[in-house]
Amino acid sequence: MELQHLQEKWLEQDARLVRLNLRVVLLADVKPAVQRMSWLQDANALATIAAIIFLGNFAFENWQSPRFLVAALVLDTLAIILLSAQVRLMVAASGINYSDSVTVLRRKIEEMRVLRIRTIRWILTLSMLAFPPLLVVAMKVLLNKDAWQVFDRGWFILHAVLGVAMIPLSSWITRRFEHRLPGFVRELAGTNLNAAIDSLASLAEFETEPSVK
Amino acid sequence: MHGAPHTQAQFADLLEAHKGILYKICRVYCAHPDGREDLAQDIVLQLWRSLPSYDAGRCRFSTWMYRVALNIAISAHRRESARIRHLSPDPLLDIAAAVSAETVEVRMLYDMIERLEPLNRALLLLYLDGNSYAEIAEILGIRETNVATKLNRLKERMKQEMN
Repeated sequence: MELQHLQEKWLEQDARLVRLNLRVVLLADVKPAVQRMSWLQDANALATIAAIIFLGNFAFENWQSPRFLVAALVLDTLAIILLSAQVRLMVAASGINYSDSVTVLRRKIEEMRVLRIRTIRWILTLSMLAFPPLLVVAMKVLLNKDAWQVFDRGWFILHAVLGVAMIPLSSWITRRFEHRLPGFVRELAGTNLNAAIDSLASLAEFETEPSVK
Repeated sequence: MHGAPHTQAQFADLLEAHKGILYKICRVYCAHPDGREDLAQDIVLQLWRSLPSYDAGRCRFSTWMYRVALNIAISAHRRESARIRHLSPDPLLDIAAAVSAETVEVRMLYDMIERLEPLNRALLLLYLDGNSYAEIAEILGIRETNVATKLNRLKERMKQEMN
C-alpha cells in the first residue's frame, strides 16, 4: 500500500466529516477555568502583600527587641521572596497565547512549568526553616507571649536543626515513594521538574533542523 | 482583529466549515473515546476566547484554527476540560459515530499517527490534510526546510511500517 494512496483515502474522509453533527454551546456563558486560576493567583499575591505589610509593621513596633525583630525580618524576607516568585509566575502566565505557533507556546508553557515547580520546591524548603520565627511572631501577636521565655534556647536550636535536617530527609522520602505520592509532592522530589526539562530538550530537538544524510 | 467573526453565529458558521480539523485533532491526540468530547469542548472554548487575536489579513482561518487547536490538544488541560464538561454535559461533536464510519485505510493512518510523539503527530496530520510546507512551518513555528526534512523521514518510517 502506497503512502500516496493512503493520503487520498485520508482526504476522502473530509467528505464524510461534512455530515458530522456539531453543536456549539453558548460559549459566552462559560466561565473559563484559566480566569478562575488567575483570580486565585491574584488573591495569593494580595495575601502575600498583606503578610509583608503586617510583618513590616510588627518589625517596626518591635525594633528595640531583637528577639522579635529578627524573627519578623526573617519571615518578611521569605514573604518578599515568595511575592517575587508569584509575580514572575503571573507575568509568565500573562504571556500565554494559544494563537502562537505550536513550538513557541510549548516553550512558554514548559518554561513556566519549570519556574512553577522550582518556586514550589523553594517554598517547601524554606517553610521548613520558617517554623521557629513563625512561632515567635504568632505567639507574640495571638497570645502576647514571648516564645523565647516559654521555650528555652535549646528548644529553638533543636527545631532549627530539625528544619535543616528535614530538607534532605523529605527529598529522600519523596524520591523513594514518589509513585504513591500526590503530584505536588512529586514536584518536591524533582521528578516533575525532570519531566519538564526533558520536554524542553525534546522541543529544542524538534526545532533543530536535522542534518540531511 | 481584521475580518474576524464578531458574533457567535459567525463563529459557529466558521467552525461548521472547519469541523473536520476539530474532529481529526481530537481523534489524533486523545486515545480514549470519552476524552475526545472533552477535548473538543476545550478547543472550541479556546478558539472562541482567542478569536480577538485572529487576523484574517495575516492568515487563513484554518491556519489559525490548527494553531489554537493543536496548542490545546498538546497541552491537554484535563482539569479545565472536566469543568467545561460539567457546564455542558451534552456532546458538542458526535465523534464516536465518525470513528465507527472510518475506512480501514484511514484507521490504519490514525494508528500510525498515534504512535508518534505529539509534535510529529501534528506534522504528519498537517501534511495529510494537504497543507503546504509554508503553512505547516507557520503553524508549528519551524523552518520550511526543517518541515521538508522531517516529513521525508516520517514518510520513510511509515513506508517501513507499512511493509
